[in-house]
Amino acid sequence: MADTLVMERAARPARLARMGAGLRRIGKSRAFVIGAVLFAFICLAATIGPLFTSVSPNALAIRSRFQPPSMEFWLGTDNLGRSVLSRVLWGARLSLGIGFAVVLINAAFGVLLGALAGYYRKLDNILMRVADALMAFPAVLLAIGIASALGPSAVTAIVALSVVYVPRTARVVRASVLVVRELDYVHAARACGATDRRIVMKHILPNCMAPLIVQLSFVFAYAILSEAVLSFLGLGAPPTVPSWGVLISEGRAYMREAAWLTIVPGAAIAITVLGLNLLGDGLRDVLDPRMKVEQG
Amino acid sequence: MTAPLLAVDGLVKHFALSSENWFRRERPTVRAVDGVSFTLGAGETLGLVGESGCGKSTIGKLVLQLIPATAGAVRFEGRDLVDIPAAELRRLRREIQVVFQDPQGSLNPRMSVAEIVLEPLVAQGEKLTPALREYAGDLLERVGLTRAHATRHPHEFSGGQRQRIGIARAIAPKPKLIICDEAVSALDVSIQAQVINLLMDLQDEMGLSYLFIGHDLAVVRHVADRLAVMYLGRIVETGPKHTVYTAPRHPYTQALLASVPVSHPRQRRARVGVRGEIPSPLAPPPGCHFHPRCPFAQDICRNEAPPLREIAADHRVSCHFAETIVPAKG
Amino acid sequence: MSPLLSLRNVSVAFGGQPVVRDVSFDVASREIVGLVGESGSGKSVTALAILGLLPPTAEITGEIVFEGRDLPALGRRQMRRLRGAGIGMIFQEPMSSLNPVFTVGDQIIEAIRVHQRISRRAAADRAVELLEKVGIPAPRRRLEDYPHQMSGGMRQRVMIAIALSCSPRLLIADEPTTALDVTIQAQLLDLLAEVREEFGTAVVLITHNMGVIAEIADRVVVMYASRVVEEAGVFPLFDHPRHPYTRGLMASTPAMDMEAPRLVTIPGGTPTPGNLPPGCNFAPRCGYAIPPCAEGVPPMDAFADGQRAACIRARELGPAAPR
Repeated sequence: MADTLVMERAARPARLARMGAGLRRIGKSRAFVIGAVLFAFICLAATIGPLFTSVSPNALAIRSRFQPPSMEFWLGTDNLGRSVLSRVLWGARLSLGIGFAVVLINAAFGVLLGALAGYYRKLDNILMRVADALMAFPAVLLAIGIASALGPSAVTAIVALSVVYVPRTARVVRASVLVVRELDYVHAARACGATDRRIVMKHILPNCMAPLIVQLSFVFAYAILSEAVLSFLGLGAPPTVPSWGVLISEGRAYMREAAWLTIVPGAAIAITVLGLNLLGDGLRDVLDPRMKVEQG
Repeated sequence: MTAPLLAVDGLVKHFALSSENWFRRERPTVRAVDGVSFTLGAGETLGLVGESGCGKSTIGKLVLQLIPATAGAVRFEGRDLVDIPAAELRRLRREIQVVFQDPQGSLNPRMSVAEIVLEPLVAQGEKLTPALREYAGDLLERVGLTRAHATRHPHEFSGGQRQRIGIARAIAPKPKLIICDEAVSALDVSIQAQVINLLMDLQDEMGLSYLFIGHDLAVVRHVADRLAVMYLGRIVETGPKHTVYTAPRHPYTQALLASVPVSHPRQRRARVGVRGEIPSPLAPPPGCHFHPRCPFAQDICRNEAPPLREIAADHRVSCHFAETIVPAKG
Repeated sequence: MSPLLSLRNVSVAFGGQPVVRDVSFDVASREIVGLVGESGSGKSVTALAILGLLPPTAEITGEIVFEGRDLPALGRRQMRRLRGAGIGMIFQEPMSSLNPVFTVGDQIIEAIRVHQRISRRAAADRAVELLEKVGIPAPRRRLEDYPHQMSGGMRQRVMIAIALSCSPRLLIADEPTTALDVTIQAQLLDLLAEVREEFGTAVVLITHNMGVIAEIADRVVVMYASRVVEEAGVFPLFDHPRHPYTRGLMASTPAMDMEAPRLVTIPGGTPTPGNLPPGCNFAPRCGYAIPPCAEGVPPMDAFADGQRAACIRARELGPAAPR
């Protein structure tokens, strides 16, 4: 008894040490560090930024229309005199929120469908043919189609983007399930009489996480980009809610006179997507050393 | 006479290739296992040897019921595993465990050693109690590791130690039969010897039976009581170890034994090896599969597959000329 | 007569971490020298060092002299010319040494023409001749095959043909038969012996398999944890190994002519290059170890017949009983 307790207690520092080693390895990837910093900056701005901007994003001030960036309005004002800084920060909440929702739905359904297709070979044909059919359409076109059928709203954007990206995530999960299911420890578990559920949950999925996490970081980036496209076309968030795509769409008309109206949200999108892509590349290097190019 | 622990009867496994092409009616099939029968008694070790592609590992998977058999029976203590209810099969799985070749791939990297070792019990529905964890420590000590290893993860161990963990997992549910699929092939010689000794000690203590699948004839000779030699999906010769090694009657067995490197340079000799290579299992030669490489082949060998015949007590050979072929010196 | 290849105090380190230490041995012309050891012994790194194939990050010290030239001092172009023309090589997995998108014929012809200025047609004839020499049936037809269409044994024969294409004086073979079935291994060992007879090529045969050594080696160099522990002619070595590690290695190899109930084992596991014990690397696993063993690296002690062993007790232990 006492011995088991000792074992339990000894487990914790060992696990911490392992995590420490993992973090050190991640820290060595420059892409990951830069990406993480950029992405953290955007997330921080989205969460606490709006608390510090005194001006509401929808506060009209007709007299101060089209103010270029100044001490009063750091990033200028738009055609209705609303603070661009304030609107971009609020927009970050919506854009990141939609991206995050798409990632969660991708994680849930991508894993479920990918695991089913990879593990039950009979389901594979059906599921993957459906996935192929969905993936045959260009991603943005499909999202536009779905969004225009459902009518513009933030929820529409989330649904449309999930339909577009879940098959891609499911493919990634299925591919790693197909590899892991043939490993000897899975055979050993089967030979022990483990149930299918246990085999998938304990033995297969935990070992498929690395490519999934990398994939999700890219889905996040694509989702933010595609949401901007949808909003720009008026198929995403309604104009009263300033998502980044909406901001660009609104600013488009005044590009000559007030370029900051499009440049600022555009830059926000670019920084976020760049950050997420670097993050994903870095994670892939760390989690999947086989894909890394030999150095030296 | 009591029923043997394991009786494999007329086992057949065909793999259909390339399911991708929906338009081609006839798919090429590999006859990986083509009518194999053997028995294994309690406490006994049967060495299953042959070269790559002979189907020996497929037999291991069939006995473990990891893949469905095309035809034939796998009787464990008289019950045919091929058609018993799933629930009963699941319970019987406690009795048959496996040790794989690759110490890298045979342990789940996300689990602690204790979890890995106890998996056969937990998978059967037992709760992970402190008492059970205690048992994991006992098992680890039994295979030459320490209790403190229980909380570690597989990547912290050397190949030999991982193989010990795999063995601890196999003996955890106190099985009657362990399939050793190339269980020591990937290990360095000095470690291999340790693991072989461990397997043999465990057999004595627990009365285990082993189906020992291997390609190293010297290793198999060391652990096995009886031997079955496979070639392209069929058993060509089977019998007590001593008989098969010292007086092999099938030309393939003779060639195989002659190919084993000598253990002292003084034994170097002009080799009576074998010509050519193993044909593709997709298109095995007609008649006796070995005839294109056989120095004694006659017309009958090209047309008729020789049955596995008993030519002496417990010594079976699948060769039309088993009686006339001089036993090569082992 | 000076040896064909001579290693003197060769050490290799990666990032300050030595993986080969103080390795010295000679290879005479037409000689087959077995370099034997378990994983992590440094045998493969030694081979790559001879071939000049270690990455630039490797720190190599000591002398590797081939036909009077110090190899580490050669430029990369000279070294490349020497590989193939002077020194041939074959590796464990021929599939990864052959380019999958070119036919076998293309690759042999290419290898021939890199070193010899002859026409494609003449090179093709030479390729057929070589494939025939290494025992490939219907060689002219096989020129059109891609590597994946051949079996492992056939691919290894092709590798040997490529290695022989420029009549090298030395062949370095790193575990050439490890991935092959035993009947094919036997055929290839015979082929290597024939190659030596016919072409007069010396061979450094790297293996972990004592049986392969017993089959064709003339002399044996035993490595353990980055150092050479014993060197001897193959008969003296198998008759009376001097170093406790060699003894243990031989005793723990199951043999066809032995029916002992238990194998003799070497306790413990091989140390990793990062944490070698002080003094004799083998001392912690050695049944004969005494306190002085941990104090310094034992020097090579010379015995009759050119047998050498790095063990301070080798002389007092006497030769092990023959098996």
